Amino acid sequence: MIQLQDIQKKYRTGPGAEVQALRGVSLTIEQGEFVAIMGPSGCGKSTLMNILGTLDRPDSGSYRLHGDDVAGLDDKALSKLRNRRIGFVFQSFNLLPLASAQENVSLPLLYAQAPGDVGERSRKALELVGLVDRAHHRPGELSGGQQQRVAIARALVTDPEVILADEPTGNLDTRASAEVMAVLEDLAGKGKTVVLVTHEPDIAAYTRRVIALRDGQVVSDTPTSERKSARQELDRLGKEVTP
Amino acid sequence: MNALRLALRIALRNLGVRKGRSALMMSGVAVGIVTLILVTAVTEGTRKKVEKGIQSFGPDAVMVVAGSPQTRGPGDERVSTLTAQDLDAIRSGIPGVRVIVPIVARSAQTVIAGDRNTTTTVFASTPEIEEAWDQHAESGELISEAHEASLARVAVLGKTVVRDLFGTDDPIGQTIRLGDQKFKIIGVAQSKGTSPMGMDMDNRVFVPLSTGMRRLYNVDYYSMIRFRLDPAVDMQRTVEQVNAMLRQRHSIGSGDTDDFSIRSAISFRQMAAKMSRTLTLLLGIITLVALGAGALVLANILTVAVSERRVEIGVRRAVGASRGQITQQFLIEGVVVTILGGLIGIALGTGTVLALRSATEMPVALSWLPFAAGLVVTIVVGIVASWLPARRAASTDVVNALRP
Repeated sequence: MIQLQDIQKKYRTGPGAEVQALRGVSLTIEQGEFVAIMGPSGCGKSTLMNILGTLDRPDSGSYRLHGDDVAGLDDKALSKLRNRRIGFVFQSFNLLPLASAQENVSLPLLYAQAPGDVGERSRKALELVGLVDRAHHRPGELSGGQQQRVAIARALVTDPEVILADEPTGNLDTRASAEVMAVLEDLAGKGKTVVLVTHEPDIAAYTRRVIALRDGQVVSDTPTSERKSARQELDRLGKEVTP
Repeated sequence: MNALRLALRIALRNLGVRKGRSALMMSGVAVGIVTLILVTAVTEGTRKKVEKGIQSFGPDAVMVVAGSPQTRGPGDERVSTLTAQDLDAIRSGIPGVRVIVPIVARSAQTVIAGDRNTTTTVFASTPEIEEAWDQHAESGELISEAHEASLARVAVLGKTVVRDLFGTDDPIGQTIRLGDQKFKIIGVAQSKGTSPMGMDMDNRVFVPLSTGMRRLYNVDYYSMIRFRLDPAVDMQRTVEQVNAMLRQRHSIGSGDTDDFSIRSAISFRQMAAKMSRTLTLLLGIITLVALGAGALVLANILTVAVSERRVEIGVRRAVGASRGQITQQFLIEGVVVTILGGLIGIALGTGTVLALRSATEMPVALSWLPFAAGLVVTIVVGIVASWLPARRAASTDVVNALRP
């Protein structure tokens, strides 16, 4: 599914100053895996995420997604690939404040080649995250957890194979975090490849594989120890997903 | 829900949220379109007025008037050089002359009927004036060859004269006095309205040429010679030929002013063009300045908007918008703004034109042209103004834009 081979990435941070963000990262992620990339800030995990999402290009090394070498694709082809194969979830949600939940979810369909029935598809995506009843609310009228679930619905609406979530619970409290993680857990259970970046061990504990980065290199890659289920955690918190 | 409609709805909502800014973006374009509509309305109105005047003058008619080209009205009566020999020379020497009449005209003549009097212009001419000037009878009869041969004291009245002297009574058979002579009214001329020079062509009294020359004014020269031209003959060429011929016949040295002027559809069009040119130039400059300023304001505001909307651009790029599609989006948004501004301008401009038409004598006319031109102009301004901001939006650094 995802194959990285010796990925290097440098950034210029000023005149003459460079940061080596990634120093030869190689890893393979199979379809349906639920993976956490962990590490302290500055370890290169966000850079790795941006490269996985094709928002950034590596200086060297190869990235194959579904067997296709991403390096050879131009902007148009990369955009199409992001639209069809990758769904993004961001720490700060990044919803359009002027658009309703459903309109935000519909956004990727504006760029899809066969958008089909936009209303129907965006409604189904909202259903998956349990927010159909909030379809016409603006982001400002939703809680943080709800906003992040709308963002997940937006990531899902084109039915991509891969969901990339960069600190998806970074701005959320424990309960909302468990809600969001439960949704991601469900998606992984349904065969989506879910990769999330986090620096919280509690969050990583919900995944099945933890890749630890330090100074731009993979330092460990292990199955999750003391694995927890976000669903069960929610049940333990004693309430339903919907607030 | 359709994808295009959704895109448009989000774009319009963006405009609605920043109303002051949106109004500012639209105002420049709106002012430009208002002046554009005014320019065309005034030009078109003047053109129509002139065309109407030319129709009443006769689009195929040429009139040689005694007196320098500055002379207004029916000729300078002190100028005695326009003669029967000139008329014969034109008739035989200028190709395409269909019908030609001499006219002796005197303006500011007092005409009396009973205890009423009015001031009018007397036209003494031959019966051919009917054909040469479409001077038909509305009632009664016109001047005949017999009247001409006998120096008859008969007159045909224009409708303004009839109204001034007789009100609603039938004037035919009644008597008027011109100078110290009495004339029998034999007919009333059809209304001809206002001349291109702004004269009331119904405030006229027609008498036989012989009567006018010998009994009334004692002259052996004409005030005007009018002829109609075969449509196949070039008017401009004919005017030049007549001009050259008369200058030679009147022995006018090169550099000296003509002692006659030639009026035709061509000269009226030239006059009108001169009048509207100044106004068109002025309004045209305002249009250009307003549209230019509008485009500049729009480009600046859009540039600010692009940096404010970095996150939105980043999200759109992340969910599958290519650089081309981002460029397209901002171009469309810019064009939507200018089209809205253009529509406001069209509404205001049309309102102004309608107000001018009902409140002033200014010749204005609405036509489809400024609407079509306005639409094209607004789209062009929108694209030009949005081009750089749109390119800037497309090259937004996505990774930075999406960083929390």
